Order: sequence, then structure tokens, then C-alpha cells
Amino acid sequence: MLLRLLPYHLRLAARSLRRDPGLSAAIVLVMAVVAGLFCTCVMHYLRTHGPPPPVSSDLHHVEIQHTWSSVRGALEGTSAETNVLALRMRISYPTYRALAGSGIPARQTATFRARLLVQPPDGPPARVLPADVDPQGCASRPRNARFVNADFFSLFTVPLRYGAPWTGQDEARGEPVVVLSKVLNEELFDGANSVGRTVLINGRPHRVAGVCAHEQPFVPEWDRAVTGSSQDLLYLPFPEHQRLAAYPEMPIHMAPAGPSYRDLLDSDDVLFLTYWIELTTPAQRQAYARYLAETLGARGVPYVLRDLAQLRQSLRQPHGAISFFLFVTSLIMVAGGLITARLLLAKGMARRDELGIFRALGAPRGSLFARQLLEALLLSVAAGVASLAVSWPAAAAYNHAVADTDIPLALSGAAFAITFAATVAVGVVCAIFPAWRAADRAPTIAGRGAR
Amino acid sequence: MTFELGPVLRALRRHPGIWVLVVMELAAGVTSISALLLGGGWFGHIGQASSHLDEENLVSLAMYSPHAGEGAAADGEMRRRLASDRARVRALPHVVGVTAVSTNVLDDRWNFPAAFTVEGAPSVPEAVGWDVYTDDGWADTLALPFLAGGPPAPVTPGDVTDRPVTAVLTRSLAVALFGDVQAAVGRRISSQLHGPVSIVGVVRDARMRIPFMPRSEAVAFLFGGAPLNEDVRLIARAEPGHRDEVVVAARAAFATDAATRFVDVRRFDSRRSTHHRVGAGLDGFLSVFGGMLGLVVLVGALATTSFLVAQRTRTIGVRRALGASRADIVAYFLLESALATSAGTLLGVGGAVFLYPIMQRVFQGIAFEGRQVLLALAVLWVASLLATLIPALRAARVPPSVASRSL
Repeated sequence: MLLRLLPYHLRLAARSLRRDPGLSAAIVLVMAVVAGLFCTCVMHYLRTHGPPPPVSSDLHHVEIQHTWSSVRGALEGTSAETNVLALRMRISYPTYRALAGSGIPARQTATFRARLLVQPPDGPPARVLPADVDPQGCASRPRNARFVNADFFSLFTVPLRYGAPWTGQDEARGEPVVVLSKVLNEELFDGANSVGRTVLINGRPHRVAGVCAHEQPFVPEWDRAVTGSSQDLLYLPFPEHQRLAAYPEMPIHMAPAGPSYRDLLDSDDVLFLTYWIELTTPAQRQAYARYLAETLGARGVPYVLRDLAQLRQSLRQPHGAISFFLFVTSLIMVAGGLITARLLLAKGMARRDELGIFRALGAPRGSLFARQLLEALLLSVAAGVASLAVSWPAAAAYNHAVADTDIPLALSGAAFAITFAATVAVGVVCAIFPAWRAADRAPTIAGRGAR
Repeated sequence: MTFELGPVLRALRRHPGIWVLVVMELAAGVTSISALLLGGGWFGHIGQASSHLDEENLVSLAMYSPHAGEGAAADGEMRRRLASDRARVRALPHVVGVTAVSTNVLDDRWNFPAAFTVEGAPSVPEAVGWDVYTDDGWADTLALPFLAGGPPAPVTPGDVTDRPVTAVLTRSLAVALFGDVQAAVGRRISSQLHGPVSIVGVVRDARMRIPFMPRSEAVAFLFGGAPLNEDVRLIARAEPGHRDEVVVAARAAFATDAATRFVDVRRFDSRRSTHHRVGAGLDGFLSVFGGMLGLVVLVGALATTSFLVAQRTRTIGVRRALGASRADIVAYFLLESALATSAGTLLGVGGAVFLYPIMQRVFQGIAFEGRQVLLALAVLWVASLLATLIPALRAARVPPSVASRSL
């Protein structure tokens, strides 16, 4: 019955919106603003805690377990808590060599990040920043470079817009190749196809083999510890780190090591790289587990081999300020809903004569109740769409004023969908009481004004 | 103008649903705005935390030189380059000191803290802080006042070791490890970055890591044995009033450098750092959120009050016909609004107090700043009364004749 009359009720609800345009506009404005604020927080939340980008589900990671309670205790609950992830994800260079030496024919990659001086092909070779030049605006400057093996791009589904990743053979031959990030390609080559062009990295020429299609995910699966910092701007073949003697970012010392680069590579107590291997069959997994038991286990090294699902479960991003602000903006949504309820109540009171006439003409309470809810639904839908007018500028303002990372905060479909659904849900729930009050009119009230 | 409570309470009873909603929305509003302002204030406060250095006369030089390669020759080359850079800066006019530090408050790259232990302590006291490798020029350049002990003896070039042997602690680290600054001097500590070092002095606190890092003031300045990597950070002290001249001279001195270097010379100014921008940005951003919420409450209250006033036009006319002045009508509406607003905002303050323990877990060291909550309360109080005042003034213009129109 209700469904059959839905178009009729919708028409009446839309007409009644026009009856009190001031109140209708106030409701849309209130809900749109609070929904926009909520959406901004949802954007933040999703980029840290949202669904991860697709990667090979057969990826495996080995955690070397360190008992370092004092540092962990100091970091937990602070904005530096991702450092705990670094402690758990990273391994030393000798351990990497052990993990990678299984001989199992599987896709695998080691990775770490360093800063390297990148110079555009036609840029000035030397650079002493002139006065008033922000280092961020200087083309020739140190950048985040990530050393990876050739399988990295397929294991972590990093699509390229131009070109292709280097191959294992390129890597073995020591080819000086590089894959540029989308951001760096836009900066150095105006976003054009730069495959085959040359960039100088620490003064050495490297041929561009490919260009990434997208920005780096905010939570890079391959190295979750760099979440929230600047993104990787170029990818180099893993063995290239030795030729460039690239000092890793954020090495974690478990015990003193010498100051030289060789000391760093030889030390079993300096953690700086992450290693991944894809084990697709049970036989491979068993073989690798046996291998670990014979190598690490025999040396008494405590370790845990985990697949990706287990790792994600174990190394969750810490819930910090953003979860709290999501809660606060949810409270703001409730406040907006209460304001909406108040305005709807006022709207219902303004139209009580009209509603009384409907009742006198035989309209059941349920029908009036449904019509009020439909009206609230229409208003909420409008507010949900209008929330874009707040969330978009809010994201732009955040990227401009805060800019805590070079991965811009962007409105995603998921963030908008969640906001839209929440706005409609809050709007409709908050309309229940006013709709009930409006439907509760006695038919006799219609005649009062005529007396 | 008379404030009569009786008619107001009767009016509140006439529309209880609306007034309950007013109270609830104001409560949610005050709680939310307070949380936004307290959280934003925390970010702003942390971001603007002082380095405790005399920044006015300091110059920062950040250099990146590609690693010279592997092996003893390359290591020697990097050491020579560092010594040469220091000497070139020291030779500039108006420079009174220069020192290399492995990190400072302007460096926004993530780093891993050090866990310090006291050598020979029966219960192995442990504290987390930050190792900063530096050199002989440290005392003249940073000029931190000593609270105990003194600077290390100068190291002659032939004595350069791969590992530091002496350290100076900041007060925070000394207290964390020994309970008192005097007890620290002469003791030995170690961390996972270096072997045992002797403490020769304790200085006033200086923040050497970005303040969003935990315990950024707990620092051990280590003398010698810095890791040889591509990034070199020098700090130079200029004679008072000559900092800008030193900046210009340093830029000129490095302009002719080798082709593959990157040099950034600027005033040492933590107000231009990333953490400062992020802290101030988040503070402003969350304050704007709070302001927008206040505006929303204002719009909602304005719309509702306008409607309620319009609904009561005949009642107002009757009151005017019975002798109520315009001021009485305004007072009537203001009192009505003030009662609901007070109840709502006080409930909201209760909500903020309730949220505070949760905020303490999220924002370490956050302070319950009463003025932030009072500001939220005041914003909504004023917004609510303003929203009432406009329609109330309109209502006051209703002539007594309106009372008889429907007769």
C-alpha cells in the first residue's frame, strides 16, 4: 500500500518542502555543514584504516621478535607509534641475505628507503639554495628513493602509467634504471611519457624505465612504518644501493655498529629493510618454513612467518587522534540531527492545520508519518550531496595549511558514500519524533482556525 | 524591563519536545567544540614547543653529499669533507662557533629513539631519549648553560675514534636516569647506538627532535663517532646582530661547490619548521571546525526561534494589550532562551569533562584548558542568545491590536 502510494507521498513531500523554504534551507544547510565536517574526518580515517589496496594474497613476511619493552612502551600511544611497526617489520642486512637464500623459486622482494640527490636532465647540476627559496620548490634536491627487486611492482600491484618495471635480468646486469613516481614525473617532465629519458641520481645517470600511474597508498603495504611520512618518489633496483652506498632512512640499532656503510651492511643489529616472499602453494610454504627452521631456528633467532592476512591482523595501524576526531565529528552529526529534529518539529507545528485537514479527509496517521519521513529523507539527500561543498574545500584547506605529508587528502568515493549514508540515516532517524508528533494531529484541529 | 519566570516556564512546558532538543543539541555542541578546541590546542601547543636554543643568533646549514662509496678511503673522504665544511663556515666573518649535529629540531625525518642504560647500576635503570652526535664546537655554538660538570676536553684530530667516549646530557635525561643532575656526572651510560660513554656534564634542556616525538628534550650529546652518511647538519652561531650577514656569506661560500651537492643555508628558525606548520595548521583547522559548528547552532536556533516567535504573535499581542512593554517582550524571550541555553551548555561542559580522560589517552600530556571549554560555552551561549534577540526584537514590535484580529 505504502509502496503503491510512494510517488504520491513523494510529490506531496516535495511540495511541502517549498511551503517553508526558510526552514527547509536551514535544515539542508545545517546537515550539509555537519556532514561536510564528518566527511573530512572519514577521508582521514579511511586513508589510514580503510581497505588496503590489492596485493598478492600469498605474500609472506618474517618478523624477527625483539624484546625491547622500554622503547615500545615509550612509543606506544604517541604520534611516533608507527616506529613500533618499523621495529617489527624490519630486519638486518645479514638476516635479509639469509631469508632470501632459500633457493625456492618464488617471487620476492627486499626493500628499504634512502634519500638520494635527484637532478632533472636539464636542471642545474649544483645547488646552493638562493635566499627565499623553499627547498621543497627546488628541483635538484634529495628525495625519498626506494630500493626494490623487480618483482616488487607485481607483488604489490603498483601499476605503471608509462613503460614497464625493470626485469630480473636488468637487475643482475646492474642496469642503471629507475621507475619514477607520478609526482616526480609531473615535477621533472610535466607528466609526459619520460620512458627512456635520463635523470641523475647522486650524480649517476639512470634511464627511466617506467612511471607509476598513481600516488603511493597512504599506508604502503610494503613498509607500513613510513605511513604518514612523505611518499616514495623513485624506485631503484635493489642491488643499486651498494653502488650508490645509500644510507637507509631510520635504521634501528639494536646494538652499536661502526660508522661506515660496510659496518651497516655487516651488522646483524641494525634493522632497516623489509623482505617479502610469495609462497603460493602449501609445498612452498612448508619448504620455506623448513628452511627458516634450519637457518634462523638453528641459530636460536626467535621469528614468526606470517601470511599477509595474519600480518595485517598483527600489525594494525594504531588508532590515534583521527579515531578520536571521527568520534567527535560523529557527535557533531548527532548535534546536527538534533537541530534538524527541532526544525522539523517547528515545520510540523507550522503546518498543523494542513495536517489536521488531511486527517479530517481520512488520511491515516501512518500515511502522514511516512510523508514526514519522506520529507526528511529528501532534505537529507540534498544535504548529503551539498556536504561536498564543505568537504572538498576542507580537504583543499587541509592540504594547504597542514600538509603533514605530500600524499594529498582526497575525497574518495568510499568517504562520500559513508557520509551520504550517515547523513540520510541521521536525517531520517531524527525525523521520527517530529513525524510522530505531526501525525498525531487530531482531525478536529482543522476546524479551529475557521471558527 | 521585567524578567517574569512564570510565563516563561509555562511556555517551555507548552513545547517540551523543542526545548529538550535545544538542550541536547547545545550539550552536544559544547562537548564537540570543546573537544575540537582542546585537541587543536594540543597540536598547536606541541607544534610550537620551543627548541630552548638561542635561535636568534643561529644559522642552519643542511648539506647533502652523495656517499663517497665503501671502504676506508671513502670513509676518510667523508670525514675530510665534514671537517672542511666546518672549517669553511668557521672562517666566515662574524661566526663565533660551528658544530655538526646528527639531528636537530628542524629535521622532520622520522628517527628511532635510544634506550639508555646506566653502567653498573644494580637495577639497570633505563630511559628513552635521543642520541645526538656532535663535536668540539658544540659548547660554543649551542651555548647551553651547564647545570653540573662541564664540556668535554677538546679532541685532537689524531684522537678521532669510531665511537663516542664522552657525553653531555640534558636535564630531562639526567633526571630520568639518575633522579638528579649532580649524580649524573662521572657515571657511564650506554644505548643501543653506542657503547659506554662517560657523562662529563649536564645542561639545561634543549629540544633536538621534533616535539611530536616522545621525550624530545631527553638528549645525550655524544662527542665523536658520528655515523658517516650523506646528510650533514651544521649549526653556526653568529655574533649578535650579524646572523643575516652570516647566512649570505655561507651561501656564497658554498656556491662554488662540487656539482653533486645540495646545500640549504637559512636562519635557524623553528617557527618555519614542518612541525610548527603542522601544529599551527591543525590548531587552526580544528578551530574552524568548531567555529562552523557554532554557526550551525546559530542558524538552527535562529530558524527555530523565528518560528516560535511567529507562532506566538497573538500571545504577544495579548501581553502587549495587557500592558507589557516592548522591553518586557524581549526580556521574556531572552529569559526563555537563557534557561534552555544554560541547561544545554552546562550539560555540554559535563560532556567535555567526561571526554577528557579519553583525550588524555590519545593526546599525551594534554591539559584541560578551562578557557577552551569556556570559549565553547560562550560561543554557543552568545550564538543562542543572538539567535533569540533578532526574532525577539521583531516580536516586540507586534502592536497590541494583533490580539483582537481573530475576534
